[in-house]
Amino acid sequence: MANEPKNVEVKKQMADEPEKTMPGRFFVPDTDISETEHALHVVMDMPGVPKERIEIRLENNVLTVEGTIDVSHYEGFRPVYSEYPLGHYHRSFKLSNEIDQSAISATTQNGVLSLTLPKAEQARPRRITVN
Amino acid sequence: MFGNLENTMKAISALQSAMEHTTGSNWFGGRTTSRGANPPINVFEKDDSVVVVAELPGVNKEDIVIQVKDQSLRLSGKREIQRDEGTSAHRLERRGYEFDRSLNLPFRIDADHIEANYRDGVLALVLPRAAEDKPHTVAVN
Repeated sequence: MANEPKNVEVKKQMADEPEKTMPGRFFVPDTDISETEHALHVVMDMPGVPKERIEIRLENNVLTVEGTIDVSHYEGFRPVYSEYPLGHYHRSFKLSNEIDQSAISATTQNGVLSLTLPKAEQARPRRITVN
Repeated sequence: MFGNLENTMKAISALQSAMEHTTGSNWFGGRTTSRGANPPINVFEKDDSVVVVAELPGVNKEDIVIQVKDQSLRLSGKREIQRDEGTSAHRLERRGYEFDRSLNLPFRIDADHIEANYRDGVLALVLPRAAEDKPHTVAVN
């Protein structure tokens, strides 16, 4: 377990390729990817993104996760002092393993998304729902 | 329906733009903290309250300590990462961290009515101004 003082973070802004049609900046969520014999585990920090605003897709071995914040929470708020930028999250990974897409599980807690992707052979592209 | 979508999109761009203009502003009188630099915060005004927002992903609510004394607000806590043995890591970008930050607020708070909400990894502290520190409107004759 690594507990170390966290330096003031600088959010990595996503490079637009291809460019998004939606306005609003997208950031790259800090991600842990680890592998066991049976599955890939992907854990992403996406603070401010509730379960229902997370989209996960797996197509052609590319895993794409997008999480959006609800800007209506800030209605009536006037910024007076800012240290970090606010925005959505987006990240894609090309997976080298074949994944059993029907068995992917996803949970989110306290702004952290955890995905378990069991390894398998053939798979078809499918949309995944977050539990 | 498309009208609403467009409004949301404009709203977030407007908010991000407004926040950019207040990056490191002088609102705290040039000195925010008496201790610590983490977590990074954003401060907003809404009606008669000030809202302090910090991103604290993966922290247990019970591990967040908020203390108020006079005009000083202190936020502390920690986030631990569980790493399983027997896994091979491809990427480890997330970090466990501890934070301990004090803010010197430029006004007095009504400490009895502070609200602290922690949802989806975001902590929002609603700090109402103390009655004696609320601006008084002056009528022009």
